[in-house]
Amino acid sequence: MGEDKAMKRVRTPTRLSVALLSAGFLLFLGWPWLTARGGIHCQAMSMALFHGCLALAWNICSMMGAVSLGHTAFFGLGAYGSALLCHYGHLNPFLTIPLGGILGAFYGVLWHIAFGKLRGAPFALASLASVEIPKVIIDNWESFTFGSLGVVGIPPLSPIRVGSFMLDFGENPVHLYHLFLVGTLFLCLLYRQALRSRWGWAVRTIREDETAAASLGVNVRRTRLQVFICSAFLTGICGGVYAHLMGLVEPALVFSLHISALPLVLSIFGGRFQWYGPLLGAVVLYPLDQVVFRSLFPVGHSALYGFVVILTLMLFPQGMGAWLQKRLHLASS
Amino acid sequence: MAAEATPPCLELKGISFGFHGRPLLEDITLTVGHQEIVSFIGPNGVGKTTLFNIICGLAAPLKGSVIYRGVDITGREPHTICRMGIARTFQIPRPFPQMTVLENVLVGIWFGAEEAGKPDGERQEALRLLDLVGLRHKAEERGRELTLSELRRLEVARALATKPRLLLLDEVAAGLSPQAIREAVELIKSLRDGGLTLLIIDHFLTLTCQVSDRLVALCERKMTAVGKPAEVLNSPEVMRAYLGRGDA
Ligand SMILES: Nc1ncnc2c1ncn2[C@@H]1O[C@H](COP(=O)(O)OP(=O)(O)OP(=O)(O)O)[C@@H](O)[C@H]1O
Ligand SMILES: [Mg+2]
Repeated sequence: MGEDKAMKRVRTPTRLSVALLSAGFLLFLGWPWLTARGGIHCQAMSMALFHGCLALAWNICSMMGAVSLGHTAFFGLGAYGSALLCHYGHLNPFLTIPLGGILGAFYGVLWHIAFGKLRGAPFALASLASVEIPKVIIDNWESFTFGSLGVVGIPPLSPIRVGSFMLDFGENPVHLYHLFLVGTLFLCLLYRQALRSRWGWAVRTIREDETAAASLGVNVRRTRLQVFICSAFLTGICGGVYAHLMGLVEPALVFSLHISALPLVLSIFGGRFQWYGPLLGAVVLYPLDQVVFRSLFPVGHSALYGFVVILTLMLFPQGMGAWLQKRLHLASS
Repeated sequence: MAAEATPPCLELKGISFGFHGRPLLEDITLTVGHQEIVSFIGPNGVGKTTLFNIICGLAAPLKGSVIYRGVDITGREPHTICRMGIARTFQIPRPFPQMTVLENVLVGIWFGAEEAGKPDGERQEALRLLDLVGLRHKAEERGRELTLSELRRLEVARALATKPRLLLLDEVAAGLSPQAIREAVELIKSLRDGGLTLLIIDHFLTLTCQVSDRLVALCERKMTAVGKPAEVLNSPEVMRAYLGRGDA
């Protein structure tokens, strides 16, 4: 009897959640045509997906219990790495962006070496402090990084030819939107599979009780290093993409508390214990802020994030994702 | 190879340990044979749990070495030691609170054992272990929902999941009913018959007297008596320690 119950837990997706997922997917696919093509709504959703990826990357650390306030270090290094490689090496952005990600990942390894022993609040503070090092170096190495003037004239993402069709991400916001959609879906699936693998279990045991995990054979040190590398690499890639979207990078733009805090806000809101939580937070909260609140309160709209975090932590401490999941379970059983 | 005498299961050689310069254990030396059951007794805070931590790599001794089946494992990382076949339970249980009881045990199967079974066999194995400790009906409950005595049993199931050859039990019998203690005694005996060597900490002497081959009494940093349970309990040092301090 107990066996039947235990076997049932091998989760089969309920019909309701499959229907919801497909509807969501179609909505996102057709979003540019539902709204004015390439208009503000399309661009806002592009950026929402972009921040969804950023939040997913951040949440890998959070899944392990490492709440970081310093991910903007990886972001900035990715952005500068890609921008400078383009500037000096005239390489294709699709090549320089992953290289920027590797630069970020390298800094992630340094984190592990420098303060891999810290946990909880001391870890968060150390991560926050670590942002200053690359920022100060880039700010002052004017002959190479152009200091606080920043790098300008960064080329946009290069067009890709598919048969006779030209995907021009720099010129056409709809193409850019679909690039982000594909990238996000890919990252999301990868993240989900990773979390369901043994490695994902190891990551969660470290969050829940590191000592117990180690005593049960989980290699805590190696898993932590791998988590930092993955998270930093993906955040660096986001930084690289950002540089090519904006066409310029400045230290104050890409090494900012805002970029560290936003993924945290989106993940906490969406649910940091579900694989889809960070993305959910991003596609709900980001457009809400940019489209609705910005037009209502042009100056103070960012305060929304502050309110949302406080309200979520008080009302649904596990985030929207957990709350929704419970509703879905009730509805389908 | 076969001609050589097999090394003992565990050897502690001159282990010393202290916190912040304050000595806690001095010159602990002990040899444990295969399939032997050795229990540690001693007053609160004498360092029994700390000794377990040293054996399974959570603390590094200041002096001395831990030899497991002829291999020096002093200072190795806990996960390595676990995979070599030493498992332990925690006196204050450390479940994974958000995971189900079944998942808690599966973690041990996945990461602790050198070779894991087939994906399906793992589940069956986890359920079998839960059966063994009488927790099968709680398989779907989350770690945080269990009572203390259930958590202690989960600790045992999870430790067994790593397929150990040496099992360290830290106060698993505390607060158990007489019936539950009888079951625990049976379980320990059957584990030993299955090839396991056990070290047991038991503050209340409820388990130890019934199953131990040898008893080790710790008192004020030292091992004061080692031997058959009855001898040790009747030795003057132990009488003094227990009666004098009013423990147990
Ligand atoms: N991390 C630590 N730092 C400093 N002192 C510690 C630490 N851990 C334990 N101690 C001290 O070391 C001593 C031994 O602790 P230990 O837990 O090994 O005792 P024990 O014999 O298991 O006692 P009990 O019967 O209460 O379980 C205690 O006095 C305790 O206060
Ligand atoms: Mg103890």
